[in-house]
Amino acid sequence: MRNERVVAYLFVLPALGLFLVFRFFPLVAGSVYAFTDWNGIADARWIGLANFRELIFDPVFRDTMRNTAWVILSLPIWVGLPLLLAVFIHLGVPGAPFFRAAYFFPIVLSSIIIGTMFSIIMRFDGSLNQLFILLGLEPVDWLGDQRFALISVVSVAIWAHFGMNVLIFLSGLSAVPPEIIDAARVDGANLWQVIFRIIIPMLRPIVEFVAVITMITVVTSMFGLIYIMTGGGPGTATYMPEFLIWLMQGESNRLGYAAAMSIVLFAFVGCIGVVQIRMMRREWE
Amino acid sequence: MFKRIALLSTITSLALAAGASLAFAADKTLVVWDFKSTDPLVKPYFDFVKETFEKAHPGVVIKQIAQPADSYYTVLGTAINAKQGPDVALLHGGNQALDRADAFVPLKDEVADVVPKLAGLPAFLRSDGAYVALPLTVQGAVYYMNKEVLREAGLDADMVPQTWEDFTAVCEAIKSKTKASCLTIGNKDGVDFINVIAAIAEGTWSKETRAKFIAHDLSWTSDDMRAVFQTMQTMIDKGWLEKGANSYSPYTDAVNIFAGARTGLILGLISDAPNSWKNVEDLAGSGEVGVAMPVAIGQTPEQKPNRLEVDGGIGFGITSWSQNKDLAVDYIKTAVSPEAAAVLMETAGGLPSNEAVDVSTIDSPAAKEIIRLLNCCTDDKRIKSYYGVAERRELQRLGQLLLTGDTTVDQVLQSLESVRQAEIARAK
Repeated sequence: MRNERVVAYLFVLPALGLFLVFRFFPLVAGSVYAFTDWNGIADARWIGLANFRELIFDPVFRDTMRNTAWVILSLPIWVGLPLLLAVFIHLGVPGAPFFRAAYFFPIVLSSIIIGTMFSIIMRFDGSLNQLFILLGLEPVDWLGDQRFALISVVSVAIWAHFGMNVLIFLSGLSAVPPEIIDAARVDGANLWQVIFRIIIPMLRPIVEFVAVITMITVVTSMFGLIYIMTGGGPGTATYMPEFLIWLMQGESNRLGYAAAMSIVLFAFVGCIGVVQIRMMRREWE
Repeated sequence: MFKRIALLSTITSLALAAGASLAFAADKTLVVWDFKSTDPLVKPYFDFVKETFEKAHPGVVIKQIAQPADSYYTVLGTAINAKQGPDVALLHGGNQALDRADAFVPLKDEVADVVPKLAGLPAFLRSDGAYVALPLTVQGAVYYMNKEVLREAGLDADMVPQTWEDFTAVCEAIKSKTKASCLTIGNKDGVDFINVIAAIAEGTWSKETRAKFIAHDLSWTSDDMRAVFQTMQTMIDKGWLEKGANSYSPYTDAVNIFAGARTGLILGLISDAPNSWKNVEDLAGSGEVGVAMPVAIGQTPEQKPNRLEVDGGIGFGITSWSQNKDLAVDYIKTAVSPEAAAVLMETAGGLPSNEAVDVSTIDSPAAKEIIRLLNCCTDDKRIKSYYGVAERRELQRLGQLLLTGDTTVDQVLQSLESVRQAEIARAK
């Protein structure tokens, strides 16, 4: 029994080591730097809560949090769209295997390729506006106008990511017993009743899992697309916290301030994650 | 038999390992970071420097790493923070280099033999009299004019606007008689707006105001600064600018719009860039590109004859953490040598800092005009090189909003002044 425990610890050790070196230590170090004015060159000076005070009044940081809030509000689309598409594929719409492959395709493209592709399509003289002109509509500055830039980037991000969620939902759907769906149909349930009264309630744990994962993804993994498509602009229209952190630690050499932002972002994502996981746990219990 | 094979393979493996480690010990690697070597026009220059240096230093290998140009200083900042990465780094002149001076070796006695031959050194001059980097090129900005558009607008294709009134006449003619825009700003990253503001400031400010700005003593809410931004606002209000500026790259999109005669003018660089004379002329056609200095605004051209701001464009610095400082000094001397600079001039249109290079061999009409201007009409130090890091980033952001009408000149200036004051407070 004791040997088994030792072996178990040995199996865990590599992962634990990696976690400590690459996750835990940077987190602790970052937490300390957040209270300093370290610029990466000179010695760090302890400045207490000054970085956090500055954050409260920093209009750019405020804008990044506003953008983050907007993106989180789009979560129902990130989760709902792939859920519906997965259900349709599961119910056997014509060409289902093709759609499954087609939806998954963007996942294998890097965000740099996707960003470059859509930059060309969505720039002011790009093909999307050419289509608008053909249809007699006014062209729109999708990436250069602050009213549209965030919506444009988020739309592309949804397109890039939704294939993975479709796959997760499909795997969840495979666990839904077909007899229940057949029985509902025999009882006269229409398509929407089958979807909303039977399939989605049975998929609830999967939906919540996808919601947590997607929320973390949208808050922390939009960097590539933003970098390529808009560079954060126009103004601060597409700034997200991770983008600002990157600028602050590199271009501005303000590592202490960037660390303070990272701590706030970590706490923010952590809080939402905890709330979501509690909700899930309550459901399971 | 099995034992013999095992012994043989062990000996072979050990011999191979020893050989490999000896080879490893003999080789030294000098890591060089840049933001240009993937450009096909510039690559031959870096290849030449690598080949020449490695030939002169057997056993030393140059590892050339091209970082993305639009995020170069962010990536370099990360390397500086970690004190890891390049031995040698390519830098822009002005504040881009000077703000990071502490991360680079102060160059003085070790480069005393090459310094007298180099122009553009003030852009890399530290307060202690040493240099952050040695300049490879000289750099400045001029308006490139598409002669096809000028002809279509009924203008003399060889005319050169000297004053704001001339510039107005050109833009109004293009606007009223052609489908082209007068000026295209490729402002996707916000940098082209900064360049145009600097060009307006150069044409507007007195010597004293300019010196005050470079010393970081000019308030953003001063009348001098407001005059510059009001001129920019006039250009926006009059509809002279190509629409969609914030979604266009200055180096590809803007140049293509220019070459396709969809715009009359772009503000381009004079050396080694996709929006400098070589590429612009290759795309628009030789002889089809006019060159104009920033125009004099509120004064006569005679009062302000030296309107081509020039300083060291790009240069090579040695990082303070480099373990190969002597080799790095040799590398940067090779990189700014007349032979290497001549390669850059030939392939990428780079105007060399090294005055030993014979520029008279260039046969491009646009380049000849630029070289003429370099000999008659330059002002040292470029305004655009002396924005503070945070001011520059704020200007990138707010410039985009000014172009789309989402902010006002007053809001921009007040915000920039707040950033300047915060920078001053932090420096204390």
